[in-house]
Amino acid sequence: MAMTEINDQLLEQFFQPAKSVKLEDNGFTERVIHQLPDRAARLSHWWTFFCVLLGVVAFFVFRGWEPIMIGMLSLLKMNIGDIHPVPIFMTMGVLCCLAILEFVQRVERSQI
Amino acid sequence: MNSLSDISLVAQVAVFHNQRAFDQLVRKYQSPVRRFLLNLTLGNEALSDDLAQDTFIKAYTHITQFQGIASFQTWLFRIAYNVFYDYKRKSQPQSLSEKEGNGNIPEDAQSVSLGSREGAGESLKMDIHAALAILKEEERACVTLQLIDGYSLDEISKMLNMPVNTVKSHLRRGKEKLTTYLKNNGYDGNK
Repeated sequence: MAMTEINDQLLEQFFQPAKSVKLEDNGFTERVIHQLPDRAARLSHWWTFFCVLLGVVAFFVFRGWEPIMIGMLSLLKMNIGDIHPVPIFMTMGVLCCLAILEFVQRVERSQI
Repeated sequence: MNSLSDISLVAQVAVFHNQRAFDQLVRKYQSPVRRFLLNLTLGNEALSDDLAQDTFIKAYTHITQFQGIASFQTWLFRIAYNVFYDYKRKSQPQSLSEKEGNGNIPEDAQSVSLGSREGAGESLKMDIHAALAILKEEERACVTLQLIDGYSLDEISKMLNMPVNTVKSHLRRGKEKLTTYLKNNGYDGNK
């Protein structure tokens, strides 16, 4: 019984200095927060996957290749001079805007 | 009051995935968790910080499993011990009890005196980590949680997921080994 008390006293004294040790953060919290899984990005990926899957299913269910084939055949039969330039410019403009938007988002993501 | 604010922060993390709330929890508990892991890894700062990061990330991803029966700190320590145990199991597939607990400090352990880390002027005559190295993992965990962090048997039992009697056995064996070790090395408590 006395031996246990002596042990405890000795050990208490030995470990006493370790009790008051407080480790400074030194950027630890930032590193943890930076490594947390990004739920928004994960949801975004799932949403994109869902939309693509829906598009593929709809393409086959509604026989999406038929209008494409009709359009391509009519293009082949059409003279170049008959094509109106305005829809082409509009399409090019929309595509350019989308490309710029994607580029800006990628730059922003790489800076985070 | 403290636990109430913890529960409030945990609720914000669980429901709204509020990273600012989790940031507050990490800032509050980083020191005890890192210190616990630092003692378990016998002073290996880089390893203990990596394990502490894994601990907090696991806490974040499994935050909905926190039921609030024990304190958030108890729950965190339990995750920390599991993370440490998993790491040891993966890195050393053979029984740890055979490798450790023989008084030899593992190669990856830095023999840093806690007294010198603190920089308070009071340096230990003997290295705490060298003394902890003679213990088996479970004994080391029980001893550090009781003698350094000041937890009760019940709390240690919850943290390490062990019956109270097992914790008592580990504590008794660990303390006996440490006392013998300290006495054999001339530490009488007055130095």
